[in-house]
Amino acid sequence: MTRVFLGWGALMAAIMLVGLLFVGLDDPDSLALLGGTVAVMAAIAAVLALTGWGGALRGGLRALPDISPPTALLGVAVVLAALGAELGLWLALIGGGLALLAIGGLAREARAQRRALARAREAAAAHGALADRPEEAP
Amino acid sequence: MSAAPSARLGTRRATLVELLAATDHKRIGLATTATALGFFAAGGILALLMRTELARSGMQFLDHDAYNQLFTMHGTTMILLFAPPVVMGVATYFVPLQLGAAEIVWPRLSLLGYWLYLGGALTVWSGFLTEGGAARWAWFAFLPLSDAASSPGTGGDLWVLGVALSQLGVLLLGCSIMATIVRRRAPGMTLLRMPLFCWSMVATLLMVLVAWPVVLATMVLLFLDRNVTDVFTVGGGSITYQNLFWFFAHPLVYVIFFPLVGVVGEVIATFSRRRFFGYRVTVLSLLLFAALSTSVWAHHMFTTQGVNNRFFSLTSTMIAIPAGIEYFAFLATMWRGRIALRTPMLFALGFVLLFLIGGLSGIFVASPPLDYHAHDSYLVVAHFHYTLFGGTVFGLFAAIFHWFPKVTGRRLSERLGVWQWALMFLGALLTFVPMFVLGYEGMPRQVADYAAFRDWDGLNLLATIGAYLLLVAFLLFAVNVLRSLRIGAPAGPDPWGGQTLEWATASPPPRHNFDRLPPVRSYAPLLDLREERARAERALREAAGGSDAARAPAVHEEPAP
Repeated sequence: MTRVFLGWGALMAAIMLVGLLFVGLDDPDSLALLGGTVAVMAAIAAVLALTGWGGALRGGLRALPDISPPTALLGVAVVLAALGAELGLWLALIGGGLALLAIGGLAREARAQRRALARAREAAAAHGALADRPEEAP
Repeated sequence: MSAAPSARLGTRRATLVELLAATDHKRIGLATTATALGFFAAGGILALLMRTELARSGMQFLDHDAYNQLFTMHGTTMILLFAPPVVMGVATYFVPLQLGAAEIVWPRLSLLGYWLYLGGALTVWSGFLTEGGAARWAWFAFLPLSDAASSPGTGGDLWVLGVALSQLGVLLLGCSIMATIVRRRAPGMTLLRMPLFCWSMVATLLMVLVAWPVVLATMVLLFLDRNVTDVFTVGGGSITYQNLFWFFAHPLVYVIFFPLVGVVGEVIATFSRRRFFGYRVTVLSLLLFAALSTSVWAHHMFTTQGVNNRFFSLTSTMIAIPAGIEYFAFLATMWRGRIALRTPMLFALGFVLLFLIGGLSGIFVASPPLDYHAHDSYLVVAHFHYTLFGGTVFGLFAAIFHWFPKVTGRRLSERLGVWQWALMFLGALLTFVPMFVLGYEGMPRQVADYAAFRDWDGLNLLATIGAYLLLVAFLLFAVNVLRSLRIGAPAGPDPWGGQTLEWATASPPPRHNFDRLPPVRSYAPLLDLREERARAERALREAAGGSDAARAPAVHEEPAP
């Protein structure tokens, strides 16, 4: 997938170059936006290449909660906090408080998730199964 | 908490918390799609109010200020609160299924995206409840009309905040889908074995990743400009605002369109009983299309004299190349296919025909001299309604009729579906063709009234009748859905003879999507299996019956009635 990001960025660079060299594209807004696009794609491709996240992950155990009320609460909190910018500090503070609660809930979820994963790994190891070994896509 | 693969959820009715806080991509996708369809209905009601007002010259029941609020909120709702979220909702549901994944990557991010979208959309609409009413500056909020001096009031600020929040939600939903495509493809699912819909989402999300952060920044700057200090006055002025806004808003049109190109391609292949023609070329054309789409934003600004018209005219006209490739691929897929004219196929064909009108009229407005004539007239309104309504809405209904059996386990009524399609097709022509003529005759857009002596009453009345036909079509759809949920025929796992992995699991799919996956050897793995089975059956007949049996035709599967 890294090549897709890189290739698409190259395509954008080619379009910008055509504008620069042949059509006299010179206004700074346009160049900044097109150049920014190329830079973002190059950055994503670099991150994927350096971290090895560009390929598909296979197999392994993953823990996932079926519901995540703190995430929904965080969404509501962010909306309220943003509305506080227009409707008053009181709403921003309520939103901030709810966001703190939600982050606490997410931390609890993450801890429970780690425990569930550890239990599942132990069970898998006990059965001699291959656990949590990612493979790259062909 | 469950470790994958976990036991599937039972068939009991979900609790409120499970509906609102589920991390299952199918529930997030359904919630997003349903919410977006709700806003589609709301935006449609605003359109009907406007069309009713415009049916005759003179003011009927709205005043100018109310009309300005209506067209602002209609555009904002349809383009920002309905279309991008609905394609993200559909993709959140189906991309993991098509990739053979058990879940979406970063499900919490996706869930957070849904809540930000919902909160932002309600914030935009809450402008109607404020003392001064909702925003009244059209969906693009050009400066200086949208600054605090020209448009004071809370409604405007709520619009800015709501747009920022809702589009942040869309961005998060998109990131989650892109991460799933990168990380969670099934064994054997190489990039060039991904279904066309997934590739169309890749092209879409490349644009989302670069354009959506820009609108977030623009809305923050606009909010600061309105409430704190002059941002755009001391910066590049209104031209910089327009550059920033259209850099987001023009790719947005394609963000709405590309996923439905993918859907329509799959529907056409499925109902032509053929493999999609020119898969690799179409994938490349989608990526080229996305790159060009990200380079054409300033064709909205030809008349400002602030951009390089030659460059943006060139890129806008070049879009005809990848679009043409995709149209040829659609036609070649149908060529010599055994076409089954079921409802999804009818909507797909409607998409192809109506978007063609929008696309061809787009070539004219991509030319600056012609655009100078058509700018801000009803010709532009007609053009973009053929791309957005003809493209997005017909494509969306192709997707809904195609995948409804997968999502609910029940079929929609074919008869009601055909009636809906016919009314929508007729309604789309009746509503938007008169707008081409009105625009050609000089009727400006975004006006609540027109002079009686211009003789535009008849064409406007036709457009209004068409809009009410569309209302009847959408009511039929609502009846069809309710009827199907109560007494619809069971669909089974694969009612259409589908080609991609989502048809290899139960309808509706279990919590972790698949009990087992078929081998993936191409972009149409289920078609591969059927062809293998047909070959095996022929070989068996050969072995049993000699050479006469060998000449017998292969077993073909027709879609169920």
